[in-house]
Amino acid sequence: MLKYAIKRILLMIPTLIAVAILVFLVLRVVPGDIVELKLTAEGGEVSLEQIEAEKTRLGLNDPLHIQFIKYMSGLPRGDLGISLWTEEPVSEEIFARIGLSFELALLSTFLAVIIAFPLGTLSALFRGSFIDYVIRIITIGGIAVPSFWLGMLLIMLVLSFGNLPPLGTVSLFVDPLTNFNQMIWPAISVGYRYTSVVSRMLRSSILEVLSEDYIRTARAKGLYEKIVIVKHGMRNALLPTITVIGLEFAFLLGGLVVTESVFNLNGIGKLFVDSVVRNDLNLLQGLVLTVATSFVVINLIIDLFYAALDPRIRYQS
Amino acid sequence: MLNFKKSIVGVLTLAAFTFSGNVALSASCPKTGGIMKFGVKAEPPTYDMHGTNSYAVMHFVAQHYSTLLTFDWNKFPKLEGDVADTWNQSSDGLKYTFKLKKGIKFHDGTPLTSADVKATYDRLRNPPKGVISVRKALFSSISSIETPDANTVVFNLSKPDAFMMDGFASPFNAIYSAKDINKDPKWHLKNVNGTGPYKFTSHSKGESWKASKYEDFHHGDNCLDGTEGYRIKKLGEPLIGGQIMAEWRGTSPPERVMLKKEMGDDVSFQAKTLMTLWVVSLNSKTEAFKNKKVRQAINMCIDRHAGLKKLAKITFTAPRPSGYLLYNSTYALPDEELYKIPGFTKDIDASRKKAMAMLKEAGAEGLEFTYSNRAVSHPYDHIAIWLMSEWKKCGLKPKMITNPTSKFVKIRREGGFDATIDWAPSFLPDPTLMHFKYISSDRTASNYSKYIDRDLDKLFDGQAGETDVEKRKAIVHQFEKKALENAWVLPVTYTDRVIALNSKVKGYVIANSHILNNTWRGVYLDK
Amino acid sequence: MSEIPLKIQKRRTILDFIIQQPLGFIGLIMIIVMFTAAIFAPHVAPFNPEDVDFEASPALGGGQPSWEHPLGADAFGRDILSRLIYGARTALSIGFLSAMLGCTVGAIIGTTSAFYGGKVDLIIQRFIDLMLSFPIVVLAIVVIAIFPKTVIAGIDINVIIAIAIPFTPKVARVIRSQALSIVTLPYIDAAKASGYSPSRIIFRHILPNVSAPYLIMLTAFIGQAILLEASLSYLGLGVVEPTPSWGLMLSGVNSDYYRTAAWMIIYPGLAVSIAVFSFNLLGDSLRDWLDPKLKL
Repeated sequence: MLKYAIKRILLMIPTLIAVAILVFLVLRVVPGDIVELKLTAEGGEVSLEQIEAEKTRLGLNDPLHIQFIKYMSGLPRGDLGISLWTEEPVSEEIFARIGLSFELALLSTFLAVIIAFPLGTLSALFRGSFIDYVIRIITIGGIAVPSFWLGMLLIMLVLSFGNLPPLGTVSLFVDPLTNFNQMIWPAISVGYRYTSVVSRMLRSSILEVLSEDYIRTARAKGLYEKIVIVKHGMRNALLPTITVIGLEFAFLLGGLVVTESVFNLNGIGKLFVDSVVRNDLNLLQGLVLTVATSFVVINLIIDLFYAALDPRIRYQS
Repeated sequence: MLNFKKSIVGVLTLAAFTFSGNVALSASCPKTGGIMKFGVKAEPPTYDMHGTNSYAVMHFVAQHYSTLLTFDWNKFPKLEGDVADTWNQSSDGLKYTFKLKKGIKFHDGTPLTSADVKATYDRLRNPPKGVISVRKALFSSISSIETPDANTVVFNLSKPDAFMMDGFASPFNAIYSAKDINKDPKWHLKNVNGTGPYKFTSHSKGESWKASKYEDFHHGDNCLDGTEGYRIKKLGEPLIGGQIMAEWRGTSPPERVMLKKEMGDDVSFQAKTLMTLWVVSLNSKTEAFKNKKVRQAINMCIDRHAGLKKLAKITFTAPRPSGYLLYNSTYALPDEELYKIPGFTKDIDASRKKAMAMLKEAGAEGLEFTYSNRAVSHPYDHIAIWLMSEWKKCGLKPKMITNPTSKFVKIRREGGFDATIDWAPSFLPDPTLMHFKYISSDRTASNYSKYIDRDLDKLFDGQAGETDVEKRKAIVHQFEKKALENAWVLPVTYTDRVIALNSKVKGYVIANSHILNNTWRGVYLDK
Repeated sequence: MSEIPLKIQKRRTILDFIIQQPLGFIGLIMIIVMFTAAIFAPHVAPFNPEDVDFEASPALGGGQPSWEHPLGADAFGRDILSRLIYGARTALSIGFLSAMLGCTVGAIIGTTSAFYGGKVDLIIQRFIDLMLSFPIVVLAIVVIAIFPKTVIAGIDINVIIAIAIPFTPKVARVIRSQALSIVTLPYIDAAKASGYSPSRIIFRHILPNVSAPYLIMLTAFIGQAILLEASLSYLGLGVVEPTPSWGLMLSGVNSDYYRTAAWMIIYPGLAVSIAVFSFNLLGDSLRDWLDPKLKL
């Protein structure tokens, strides 16, 4: 197991380097002009010389290979350059906000898992019944309903009953109740989809387990037998489900982009949209890199977990 | 008997005045205490007011600083002293002498002297390498600054400048401490140390900006315990939900309807025309637009009378037409004259008929052209959609191309459009400030149409140095008429700014721009 | 047990599909209705979606659902029903085209990779892994940031490419694993020995046999594409004014009207949900019917 783990971790490094290079190359092509934006968007008289001078000062007029060298040499030290908008280090801008996104993602995952498991199991066990159809419709709703629309509706719901939670995210450790109030609505908004996906995967995995030959003989014996068999077959049913929890967690990070905008939360999702709108290349670069890296790492963890549960995986490839 | 009582009252009052120190101070704060929470829809790119035009910086940072002069908000644009006590101007207009108030201290305890004012204005007109001063050009007439003693500052000008006095009151010209500038000219980009009513406490990136009351504030009318500014995306829900109490940029009409419905008496509104003019700039490189008649025709299709009234109901534009200068301001063209210019006449049907005839004659019937729009809803999308429908009524075929702001400004700079939405913000209806945009493109970077017009340049220079108001008016009117008839830049209208405040917030007087009166002196909270 | 979907069994006609998969059939009907409305939009929609009529705006007190405007009018007095119908055009065309583009390119890459094997396969695999390192939304937004807005025949090509690109590696991976099992079959060896060109083998012999997972992924991704387009337009990064788009109709400022004109918010959101819902119903049922064992 250890050998497999080390092999996988080492394989991750070239992937990450390739990601970094890809991000750099791709973002050089972004049209738009952040210095124009910073200096002229509010009007006023700024001369062309002043604009050019700012661009040079920020390193935007450096030749491509210089920019590349600066970028790549900074990476191992965790130096992602400075944000073209605030001139603060990109890593600080990201660090200040990543905690919130992470907490939101974790909360959604937690909610999703505790709701999806009973839902998926029931749906599978009572396949074809009314309960199954209802749950299937609810879960397809989760995949169909746009999360930002759900978010908007939730905000209106909360407003009609009272006040919104205060702005300025409060840490979980300082004031858990307020923190919960701030987090729960976006968590539901982005977690509905997550819950549905996990529930559906669990359902089909259990159904598959139930259809195996050695199970079929017991089916005729009724529900009680089914439950007993499922408990034993659960391990096999869990594997693809856990994979999907891992894969969808990463999808969740993407879903945060829209949700944070709807709920005005100061996380990296909102930062991402802001950096695209403003053309803050360095920040955008740093963000994409951070997200991609977390993705790769999370996938690795899931794979290792999967491999630990299923020895066959380790001996493939 | 009456006289005796009167004199006792008089003596007691005098005693009270003497012993309580400055009675005027407590009168300017009917109530003290509380934290004012406000929202800002943008992120400040810097803390340095000299180097930005961004309202986000103004809203967060202005409360920490003072300026040499400021405006009396109740009698705008009357000037009053901020750190200046008295001042005078030489008869030839080449020398301005200021006497500073005594006893002012920066937040870190350093006393304010004339050296600080000199250092600030030197930084503004001649920024050191690596520092950007976006309004540098406005100080070009200052030739030197002297400090004969710790409380006196003398500005020597090389030529008379009609705008200079107002320039001293610009909220962006925050007085910095010479010691901080000398320590590092870029110090103020990331640090705050001023003489303003509230002290900087913390900035949580992307989220909040906190300040607390400065006890030694020289005017004494900082009534709040502190302020908290939050980054918001939309105004409505945070105000209704109690997350913020104020927002200084402005609300749209439908938003106001919603706020009134939801909050009833808990919300109060203040309105004043905002001096940002929305214009459409036509590209001088577009073949069809080189014909003046075509440009005028395009201008004449727009129904500025009835149409603007309707537009004003769905977005925050003003409901009436305007030239480049704010209507009803000192130097603006009087309405009777404005309404004679093609495009501003009252009979829109006649105007459109004439326009279509002009287009036909020029061979530009059913002309197709691109209109570059910025991807922001208020008022850009609204103005764009309205203009499209107006131009279609003349048989024109405009095509709207919308882009996010950073792409939009690039396109605007590079001339990648036939027509583009554009805007001319100002904080003062002064022609030097407001006409800068319409002179030849080799003299100003904000002429995106990129035309050259030496006649306009001459008229502009003429009014900039003319200190006699009536003579200046004459020159300015000539400029307006000529530029409007040229129809390179078509004014849409000004902005109807209405701010929404929670009724708890009192003592605030709205000014003609969202960058004015953001120190919140005299603002207090009351249930 | 072989992974090849068995097409031989009993005769499976559309009628069988309708009977065995009622939910899928409902999805199919709804999709056909939407497509029809979208194609015949000029005849079905009561108004031109860009017709401005300030009098009908809720801001001026109008716009309620009425005989004239069955679903109400928006801030500019534009008819919402018409904008929904034309919005269906945007959603379906962008959804369908981007899913088609992504799935087709992905399928070709996947089969090619499986066919050649060895070094080629390894390199392509690495590249696919690389692309899979980005969440869909992030990748789409980055592509949007790069490509200038290109509109051909009223359709935003840059949005289509932005949505198609994240799907491609996912499809490539699944199709590749399916194709791998086909490539090792004897009749492929025979085809190679007969001197058939690789492209002929790929296109004539392998691709048709992965049509089941392809179709399943296609329907699933059309739904996701519609959702992605709505999200991008909501953020202001996708389709922009004046093109009607359901996501755009929900963007930020329209929620100013939620108290005075709730219909402006409810209907576009419902439209997106129903559209994606239908495609998912169809996709689920297709999968049940064609290949229940398929793991996506």
